[in-house]
Amino acid sequence: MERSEKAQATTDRLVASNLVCGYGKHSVLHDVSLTVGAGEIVTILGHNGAGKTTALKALFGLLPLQSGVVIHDGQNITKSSTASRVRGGMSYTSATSAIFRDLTVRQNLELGAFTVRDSKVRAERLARIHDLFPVLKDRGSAVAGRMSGGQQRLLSIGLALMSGAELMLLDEPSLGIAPSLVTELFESIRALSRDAGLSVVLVEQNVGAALPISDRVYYLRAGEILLSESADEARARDDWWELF
Amino acid sequence: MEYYADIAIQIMFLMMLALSLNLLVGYTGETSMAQAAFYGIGAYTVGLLTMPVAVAGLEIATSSGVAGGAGWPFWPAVLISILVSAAVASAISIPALSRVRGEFLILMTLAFQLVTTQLMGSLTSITGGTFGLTPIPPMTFFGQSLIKPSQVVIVVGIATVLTFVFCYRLGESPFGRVLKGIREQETAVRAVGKGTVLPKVIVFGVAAGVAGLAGALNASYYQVAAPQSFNLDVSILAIAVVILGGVANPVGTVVAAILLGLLNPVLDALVGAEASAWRGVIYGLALVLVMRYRPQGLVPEHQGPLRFLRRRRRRNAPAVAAAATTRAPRDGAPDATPGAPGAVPSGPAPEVVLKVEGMSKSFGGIKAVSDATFDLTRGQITALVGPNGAGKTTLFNLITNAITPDQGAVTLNGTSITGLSISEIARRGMARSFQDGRLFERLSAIDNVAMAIPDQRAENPFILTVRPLYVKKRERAVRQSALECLQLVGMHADAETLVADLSYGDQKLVAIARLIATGADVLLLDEPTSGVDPSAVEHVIDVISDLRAAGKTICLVEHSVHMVERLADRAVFLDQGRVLAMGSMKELMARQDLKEIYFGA
Amino acid sequence: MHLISAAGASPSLVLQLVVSGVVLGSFYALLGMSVSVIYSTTKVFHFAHAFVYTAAAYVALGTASVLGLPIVLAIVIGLIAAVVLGVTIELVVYRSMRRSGASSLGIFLASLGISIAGPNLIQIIFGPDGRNLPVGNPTLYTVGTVTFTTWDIVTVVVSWVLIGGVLAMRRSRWGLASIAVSANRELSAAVGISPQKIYVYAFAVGSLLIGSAAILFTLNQAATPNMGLQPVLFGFIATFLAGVGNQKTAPLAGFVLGMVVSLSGIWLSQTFQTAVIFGLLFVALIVRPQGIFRKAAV
Repeated sequence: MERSEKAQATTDRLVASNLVCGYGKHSVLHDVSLTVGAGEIVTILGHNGAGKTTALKALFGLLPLQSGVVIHDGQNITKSSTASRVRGGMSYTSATSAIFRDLTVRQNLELGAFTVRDSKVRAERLARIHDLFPVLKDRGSAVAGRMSGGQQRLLSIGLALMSGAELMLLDEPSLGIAPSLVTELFESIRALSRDAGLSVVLVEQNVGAALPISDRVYYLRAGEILLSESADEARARDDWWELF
Repeated sequence: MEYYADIAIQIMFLMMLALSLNLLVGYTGETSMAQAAFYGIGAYTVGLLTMPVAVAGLEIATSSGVAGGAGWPFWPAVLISILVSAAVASAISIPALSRVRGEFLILMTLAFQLVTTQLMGSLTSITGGTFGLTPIPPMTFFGQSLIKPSQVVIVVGIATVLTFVFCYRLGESPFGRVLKGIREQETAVRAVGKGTVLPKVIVFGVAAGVAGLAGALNASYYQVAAPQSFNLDVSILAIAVVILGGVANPVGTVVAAILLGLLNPVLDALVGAEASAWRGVIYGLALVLVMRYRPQGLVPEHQGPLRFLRRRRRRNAPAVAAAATTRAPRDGAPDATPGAPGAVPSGPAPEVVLKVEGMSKSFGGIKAVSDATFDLTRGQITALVGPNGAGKTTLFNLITNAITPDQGAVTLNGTSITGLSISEIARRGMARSFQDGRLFERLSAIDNVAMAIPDQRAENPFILTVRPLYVKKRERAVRQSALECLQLVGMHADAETLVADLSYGDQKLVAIARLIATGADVLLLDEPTSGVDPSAVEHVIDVISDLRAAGKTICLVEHSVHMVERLADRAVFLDQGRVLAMGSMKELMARQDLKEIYFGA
Repeated sequence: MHLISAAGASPSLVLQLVVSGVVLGSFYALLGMSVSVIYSTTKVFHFAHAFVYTAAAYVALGTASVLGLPIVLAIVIGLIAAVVLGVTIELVVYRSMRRSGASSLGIFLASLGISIAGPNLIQIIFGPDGRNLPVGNPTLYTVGTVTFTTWDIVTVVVSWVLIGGVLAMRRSRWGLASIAVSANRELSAAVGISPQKIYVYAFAVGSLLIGSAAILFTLNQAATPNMGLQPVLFGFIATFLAGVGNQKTAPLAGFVLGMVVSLSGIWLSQTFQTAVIFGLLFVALIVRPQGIFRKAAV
C-alpha cells in the first residue's frame, strides 16, 4: 500500500492511453490503457494469447499502433523508432529471443550498449553488471545459447541494463527456468528498482513469483483490461481463475 | 504481309513460352529461370529427329557438321519433343521442388539454364555448335511443307490458341486450385490431406512440355536451332512477360507478350542494330517499376474479361442463390450436413476415438513433451490446458506428425497412425487447424474449402484432359459440398469473397469450414478464438458446439480458462510436457496443486 | 586462369592446375564473401550485383581510356562507383519495396530487372565488344614447370586481404551490429541498432568487394557488358554451399569451388568445367541443403 501511494505521488514515467493494435487484420489489443510510475513495478497478468506480449511490443514501438498514445517521461513517443526509445531509456526483453544465442556473452553485453557512444560509460556499465551478476563475467567468452536457462535470463537482464534503461519491459522472465532461480531473479529485479529507481513493466503468467515484487497489477483478457488493482489486493485473492 | 506474319509468329512463340511459365510462376509460385532451356530442348529434339538420315559416303547431309538426323516426319517428332522436354524438366525438378526455400529453385534452374546453353554450344557433333543445328526441315501440315510466314502463322496461331485454352483451363481447374494452394500455404494443403510434391513435379513437366512444343515449332520455322535463341535472356524475357502481365492470369500474359513482342519491330525501325539492347533496358526497367508500384501486374489475378464472365455465371448458379440469404441461424445448421462428409455417432456408449500413448519429445535436451498419455472420446470436446510452455501446441504437432516424436504411439479408431504423414492422417480422419489460420489468402472462401474435400479425381491433370465432362460434373458436386460446409459456419454469403478481404473472425470461420470439409471425424483446433473480435467470439463458440452436436470429436488448445470452461466437456491439464490431470474444468480448478502450478502461487 | 587442355595427367600439369586453382579459388572466395555479406545480412537475392560488377569494370576502364586518368585513380573511381551503385539500389529500390510489404520474390524480380537493364545500357554506351583495362602486360614467372603472372599474384593477395579485412571488421562496432542483425533482427532493433543502416553498410561492403573482383578480372581479360552474370552466380553458389548465413565459410566454399574447377582440367576440357560446377551444386544441394560445412559458432 505504501509503495503504491508513493508511485501515485511521483510523476508517471510511462502513460499509455487507449492502445489498439494487432498484426495486420488480426487485432489483439482493444483499447488498453496503463501507467507506470518512477521506481514502480507494474505487472500485467492474463492468460496466454490475451495480448500481454503484444502490449509490450506496442509500448516499445515494435508494432505500429492503429490508435492510441504513448507518453514517456512527458514526451509523446507514439511515433518514435525503437532506437530512439532505447536512447530515451527504455528497454524491451522478449520472452523467447532475449539474447543473441550465437554470440558470446561479452558480445551480447556490448551489443546491449550499442546506442552508447562513450566507451568509458560502456566500461562502467559492464563493470556494474559484472558486479551484479558475476557469472556473466566468468562466462564472458561462452556462446550465449549454450548456457543454462537461468544464466541466459540473467544475460537478458544484463543486456537491457547495458543500454542504461530506466524503464524495462520484461516479457515472462520466469519462462523455462528453475523455480528457485525465479525467486532469485525476481529479487534482483526488485533490488534494481529499489536502489536505482528502475521502473518495470512485467508480463507474467507466474502469478506467485510476480506478485511479491509488484506494486500494481493489470489483468488482461482477450485484449482488454479486465481489472486493475494494487498488488496487496491481488495477493489477498484465493485464486485467479475467474480473471484468466 | 510476310513481314507482319513473321512478327506475329515471334510474338506467339513468346506467348506460348510465357503462358506455360505462368503455370509455374503464377499459379504455383515457383520461379524457374530455365524455361528457355526446355524451349531449346524441344527445338533441338525436333531438329535431330526430322533431319535426314546420314548416308555413308554422302557427308554433306547437313551444313553444320552434324552427321544427320533420324529422318522422322514432322508431327511425331513434335510429340517426342514435347515429351523429352517434359521428362527432363520433371527429372530435374524432383530434388529442387522438395526443398522449401524458393531461392534454391532459382539457383538450380539458373544453373541448369546455363549448363544447357553451354552444352548446346559445345557438343558440336550433336548440336552443330555455336552456329546451330541446320538445316532443319520445315514443318508440314496435311502433307504440305510450310515455309512462308503467312502459312506458318496459321499453324503457330492454332498452337497458341490451344496453349492458351489448355493453360487457362488447367489453371482454373481443381488441379490449378491445388497449385494455388501450394503457392499460398503449402503446409495447409498437406494438412487437408493432399500431397504437394507430385503436383509440383507434374506442373513443372507440363510447363516444360508446352515450351518444348513452342521450341519444336520455332526450329521448324527458322529451320535452325542455335544456342542464342534459347539462352538465359530468353528465360528472363518470359519471366518479365508473366510478371508484367500479372501472375496467374493468362489474359495478362497475352497482353504483355504483345506489348513486349511489338518492341522488337518498333525498336528495329528506331535504333537499328542496338534494338536488342534497348529492348533489354526497357523491359528490365519495366520489371523494376512494376514490382515497385504495381506488383500484381497489368491485369491482376482476379480481373480480366474471362473472370468476369465466369463470376457472373457463378452468381446465377441456383445453389448459391438459394443459400445467399443472411447468415443462417445456428440451431438449424447441423441437419444441413448431407454433402459434407461427417459421421453421426454410431454407438451410445462413450467410445475412445483417439489414443495417445507415451508421447515424448525433447528439443536440445529440454523435454517439451514427456510421456504424455490421454485419449479423446467420441462426440466430446477435450481441451488441452496448462501454463505457458506446457507443450500443448507441441503435442498437436506430435500427434499429427508435423514434428516427429522421439517416442509414443497414436491410435485412431483402433488403427495405428504413428509415423504417417500429416496428409495421410488427414485422409484417415483426423485433421488440424493452425493458430495462424494458414488460409489460402488469394483464393475465394469457397475455393479454400473446396481444396479440402477428399478424393477429388478431377485434381488429376490426366483425367482433367481426357474426361472434361466428368470433371465438370464432379467439380459442381465439390463446390456444392464446399458451400454446405461454409453454410455450417454461416459463411456461405461470402463464398465468392477472397479470404484476404474477410475480417479475421470470418477467416477463422472459413478455416473451420475447411477443416469440416476434410470429412475428418477428429478435429484438432489450435486456439480457434484467439484474435477474434469479442463480438464474434460467441459465434465461433456456437459453431464448435454445433460440430460436437453433429458427432465430431474435438480437441482444442485454448488458453483462456474462461473459454475452456464454457466449451469443453473435459480438460487435460499439462505442465512441462506431462499430463498431470484430466477431468472437467471445474474439477481441475478446484485442485490446489494445479492452481499452484498454473499461477506459480 | 590459364587455358587448360584435356591431356593426360602428367605431374607438371597437375602442379600447374593446383597453382591455377589457387588463383581461381581466391577469386571465387572473394565472390563468395561479397555475396555472403549481403545475402546473410539482408536476405535479398541481389541479382543486380552482376550489374554492380560490370559497372565497376566499365567505369574504371572508361575513366582510364576515355578521360585518360591514371590507372590507379581510375580503379579507385570504379570502386567508388560500385559502392554508390550498390547502395543506391538498396535505398531507392529495395528499401521502398520492403516498406510497401513486397515479398522476397518480388524484390528478387526487381533485382533481376536491374540486372537486365543495366548491362544493356552499358552495351548501348560502350558497344558489345570486349574492352581492356589499359594496364599493360604482366610479368611472367616460371618456377620449375609452373608458370604464373604478376596479375595472378595480385589476384591472390588482394582477394585474401579484402576477405581478411571483412572478417576483421566483424569485431568492430558496425561489424558486430551486422552480425547481430543477421542473427536476430528483432532483438537488434530492441537494443537500438537500426537494421536499415546495417543493410546500407552490408551493400556498401559487398559492392566494394564485387567491384574489386571485377577489376581483378579485367586485369587479365576483356570486359564485356554481360561479364557480371557468371561471377555473381558463382558467388551465390559459394554462399549456398557454405550454408546461408555462414559468412566465415563462404570464402572457403568459393576457394574449394575454384580448386575443383581447375583440377577438373585433368580430365575435362574447359568447356565442360562450368557444367562441373553446376553438377557439384546440384549434388551438394540435394545431399546437404543446409550447406557443406557444419554451422560454426559466429
